[in-house]
This record gives sequence, C-alpha cells and structure tokens, in this order.
Amino acid sequence: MYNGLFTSAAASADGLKAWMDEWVYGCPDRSSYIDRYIKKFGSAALDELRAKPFYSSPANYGSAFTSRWDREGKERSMGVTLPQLEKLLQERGKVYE
Amino acid sequence: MSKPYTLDELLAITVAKEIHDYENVVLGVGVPMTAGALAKALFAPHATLMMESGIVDIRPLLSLNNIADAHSCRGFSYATDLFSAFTMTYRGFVDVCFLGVGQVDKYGNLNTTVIGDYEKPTLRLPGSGGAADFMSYAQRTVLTMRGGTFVNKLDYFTSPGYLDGGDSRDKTGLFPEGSGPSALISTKGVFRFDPETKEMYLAQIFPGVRLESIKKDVPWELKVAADLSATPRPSDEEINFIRDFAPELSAGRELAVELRNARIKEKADQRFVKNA
Repeated sequence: MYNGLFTSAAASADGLKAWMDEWVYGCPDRSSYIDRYIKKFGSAALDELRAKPFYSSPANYGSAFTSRWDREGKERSMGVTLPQLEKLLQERGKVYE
Repeated sequence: MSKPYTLDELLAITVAKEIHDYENVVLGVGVPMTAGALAKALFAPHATLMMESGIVDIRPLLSLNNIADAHSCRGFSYATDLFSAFTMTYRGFVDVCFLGVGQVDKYGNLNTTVIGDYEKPTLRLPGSGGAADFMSYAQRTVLTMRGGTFVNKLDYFTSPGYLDGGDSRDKTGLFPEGSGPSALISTKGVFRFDPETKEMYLAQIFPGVRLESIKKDVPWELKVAADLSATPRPSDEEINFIRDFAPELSAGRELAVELRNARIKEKADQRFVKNA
C-alpha cells in the first residue's frame, strides 16, 4: 500500500515533491511519522506490519568447544592453567596492584 | 584490596563501561567483543550486542575469531545479514560502536589503511572494513588503542572523527547531528573530546601510569582535564570475567604469542618422538 503510494507519487516530479513533503520533511521525528501513518491508514494496518515473534527451532551450529579452558583447566592455545598464567603475569611485572 | 590486574584488562573493563543499558552496540572482534560480553554480563544486561555480519543480540561464551564465528550464535535473537546490519546503521539505530586505532589525530580522525606512502607503504593495515560506515553513522564511537600511534597528520584518512574540529563534522550535513567519537581508551588512560573545539584531551589516567609517559606518545601539546582523575581500579568480578572469557587478552600479546609458540613446538616434538 505504502510502496504503491510512493511508486505512483514518484512518477512525476510534483508528485514526488508532495510525497517528500508529507512523509519526510513533514515528519520531524519517527513518532510523528508513525502518528501520520496511523492517521492515514489506521492502527490495524500498522499492526499488520509490526514484527511478531517468529522463532526458529533450536539450531546446532557445531562447535569443538565452548570455553577457552580445556577439561584439565588449561587454556587451549597457551597451554597454561589460570594459576600458572597469573603467576607468569606476576613474574613478568605485568600486573598492577 | 582486590586482585592485581594488567593494563590490557583495565583497558577492556574501562571500554565495557562505555556501554549503557538498553543500547544497540556494534562490536568487532578482539577488545570490543570482550568488553561487550563483560558489559552484557555485569553492567548492561539489556544492551543489544551485534556484529556487522548480521548476528543480533548475542551472548558470546568466549572471545571470537571472526565476525561470523559460530560461537557467537548462542542465544542470539535475530540473524540477518551484512546488508541489513549496515542499513540499520545508516538509519541511525546504532547507539555506540567500537573501533581500533592505527593512527589517530587530535580530532579523532582515523587511519587504519596504510602507514607511510599509499603506493609504497611501510605497513599495510586492514583498511576500513565497516569502520568508516560505523564511525559516520553510529551516535557514538569509542576508539580503542592497544598499539597504534597519535599523529599530527594521518598518512591516510580512513574514517571520519571530528574532521577539522569545532563544528566541522556537523557542518558537512553528512552525519547524524552530534555523532562522532566520544572517547579514546588506551592502555594508559581515557581521552575525551572537548565539547566546543572537539580536540582530544586526557580525562582519566590509569592508576600507576605517569602523565609524562602519556605525553611523550602525543606529538601535539596534549590538553589535560583540570579535574584529571585516576580510572577506577577494576573489581575481582570484572578481572575474573576477562580472564575466563579472553585469557589471551589478559596475557597480553607478547606472553600469549610466546606461550602459544612454545605449546606448538611441544606438541610437534611429542608427535616426533611418538613417530620415531
């Protein structure tokens, strides 16, 4: 409906200008745009466009792991446990009290 | 006394605090993703985190490898596409985005394209990607700096900050009014932008960092806030979250690379012994 209105308005320069005045320059913000829409087409028409929940089934994306830490508590790429990492940071003078 | 922390951790935690509840947030891989996950877990439970790949409202379990990493998909509420993610940005729905810095000037303009001459660069950087789009159309941009340099003049102009300062950004009419970088957070402190001149100034300093060590990184006469304060030290909860979520960030680049290489070598050696 709205698209059709735009297409026919945009067929002529004056029509496009009138459409822009009504729907773009005549609407200082989003809520005034929505108000104008309701006034012109009714709130039932707006509700029809509103996104409703549309759930997917649970999806399996597949993942080798879901934590950076392995079953032995070692970080997967660095190969150290958290206490070992904290000790290293301390020894290297990387931490601030 | 809470537990000791690293400067990289304080950087990520300080970045996280730039996200406010109920905001729409675009995140990149690395520090921003870690900061976003922390904010969502501790400070901003209703923030909507998204990536430019079009995955919206994510709760990542661990730091991600790329913007379409399957690990980001847990619990997301909406999966769309790159085109829609950018359209949404152009329409003004993004409150805050985060960008890493290659070179930055005093008005927060960014270079992430080349260091040196464009034709014969000394270093080729990743380029814009979505950076110029996000910095143009997000209401706020938070710049993060782990490497990167402050310069008087960018070698290449990739993404617009406040252009020539003052009202020059707004005057172009190209960007949402009042948009632009709101903070730059490095491993030494927090910089903000003067509301009038839009010149970057030092607003907070990380505890234990000396003002001189910040000033020597900046080639212009850096302005310092009259009420310069120390960045609040992080809580144990914040530090523990980062260490669990992104241990390589906690380790810092140097140590992470060293440990990773040692582990690769060890695995290769074990394999060699087994096969011998």
